[in-house]
Amino acid sequence: MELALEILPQVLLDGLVLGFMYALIALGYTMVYGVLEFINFAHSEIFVLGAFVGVEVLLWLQDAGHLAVLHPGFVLLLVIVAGMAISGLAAMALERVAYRPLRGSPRLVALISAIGASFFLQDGLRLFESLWRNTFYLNYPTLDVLDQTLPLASNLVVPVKSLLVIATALLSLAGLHFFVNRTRVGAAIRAVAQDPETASLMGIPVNRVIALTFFVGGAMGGLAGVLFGLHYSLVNPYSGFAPGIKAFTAAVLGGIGNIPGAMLGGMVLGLLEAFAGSYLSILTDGAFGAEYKDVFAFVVLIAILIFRPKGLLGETVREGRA
Amino acid sequence: MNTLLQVTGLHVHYGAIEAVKGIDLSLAQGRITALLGANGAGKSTTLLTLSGLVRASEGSIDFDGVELRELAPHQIVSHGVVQVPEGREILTTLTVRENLLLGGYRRHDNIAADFKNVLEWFPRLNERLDGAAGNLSGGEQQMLAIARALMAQPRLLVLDEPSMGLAPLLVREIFKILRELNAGGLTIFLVEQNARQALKIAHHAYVMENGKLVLSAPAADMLNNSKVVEAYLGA
Repeated sequence: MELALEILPQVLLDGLVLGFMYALIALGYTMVYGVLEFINFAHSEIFVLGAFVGVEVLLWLQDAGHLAVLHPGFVLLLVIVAGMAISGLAAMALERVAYRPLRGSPRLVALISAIGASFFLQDGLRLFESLWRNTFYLNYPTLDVLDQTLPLASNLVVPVKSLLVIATALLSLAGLHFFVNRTRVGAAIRAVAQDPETASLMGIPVNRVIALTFFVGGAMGGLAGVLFGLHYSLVNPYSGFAPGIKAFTAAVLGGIGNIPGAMLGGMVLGLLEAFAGSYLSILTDGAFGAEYKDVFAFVVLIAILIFRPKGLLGETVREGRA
Repeated sequence: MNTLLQVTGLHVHYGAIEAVKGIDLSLAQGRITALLGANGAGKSTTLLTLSGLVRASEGSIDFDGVELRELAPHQIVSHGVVQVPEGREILTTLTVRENLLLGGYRRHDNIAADFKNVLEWFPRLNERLDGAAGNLSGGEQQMLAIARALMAQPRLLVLDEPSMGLAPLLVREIFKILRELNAGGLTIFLVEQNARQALKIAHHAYVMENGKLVLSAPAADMLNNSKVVEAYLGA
């Protein structure tokens, strides 16, 4: 038991880092569901694309000899902005090419298109990196500042990269919340989510608002990708699968279409996973190890959805305030 | 009398079904025109086509020299044709204020003055500005729908069944407001099943039956000719 308490702060920290990552990715699923009522299964590849943009920018800076000279804060900002912009644009392009022409056809058709787009992006990245670098397993160059730690207490050592994830995620989640709830364009997104026909009769350009929603959701996914790469270092074109499925689950857990729900769902899932990873073997005396963490997390999830089928906060984009 | 909107030879299909079978109608500037008819006559389809939500298969819609037929709904709003859809269709999850402000989405000029104006027209909304629009009563929602449309600075206000589901007192209040808006120079196109009420405020009326216009006459004549009203409107 002593050990259990001893590691608690560290487990919480790991859970938060994971949770914010899932929350950022989950936003992309939930925002697109909000406006189109459809699951963009290629979103996990938009996330990976962000991670690859991040590593490419860093490698480029390194090869050019800038990485050691430039201020690390500037480098991080550059990497994050590039990852967000390119992922956002890619999500917009995806909508234009793979989803918009299918609007109005049965939802299953768009879903198949999303799965196809997902394969296309995965293998496109693989092809590109294979030709460009002869390998599609890439390592983030180390940034010294990220590898430093802050020893806050004897049992809590906070890596700077964890702080980076938490601070960046908090900032962008707050920014997104402000954008969606306090700006004219944000109100237009909520209007389209509730009723696209009425929104168009009010003069809201529905297609442009949907494209913008993809951009914002994609940018959040790209940000998560960059943070994922900075935190865990290794990326490959298939890295998106597990985080993508989990973030999608987080979105459902929070109530699909519901923006605060996605944040909450991501956090719950991240913490569950971190707790299970560290405590399962302690609590079961070694019968179940950390490898059961996903099983445990999903069992809890299923239990929650049995009692709250619409998720923790419900599908409130359509029914309540987002 | 200037013609503000001229519809010529309009046909609309839903798949193989022809809902509007070649109609011609014109709306006079500064007047209230009513389009009457039973359920399923094609009235709402006609309005949806004017607003760009439904595509015409044939014909033209000329609005003060601009062809609307191929334009997207938001572009049509920019030209000044603004519809209050059937069933009030306000955005229930947004606040009353957000509904009103989004009504002026296409405008880039200062909309604060109009915001104040519509609240003078509909003082009841003033008290509920920051509440969810879904909590308004049916009558208040209809007022919000009209107020929201006014925020777009319409040159032609199109209303689809504004009296639907409302108590007689509220219907009278809403029609009174429509008449006052018209007195201020606004051109109004009104679809109604409540024929008598509509004919009382309209200058001209059309009657639609099975996708065709079967009658076009000054509203007063139609109101006085009880046979017409009985035959076509069952009222």
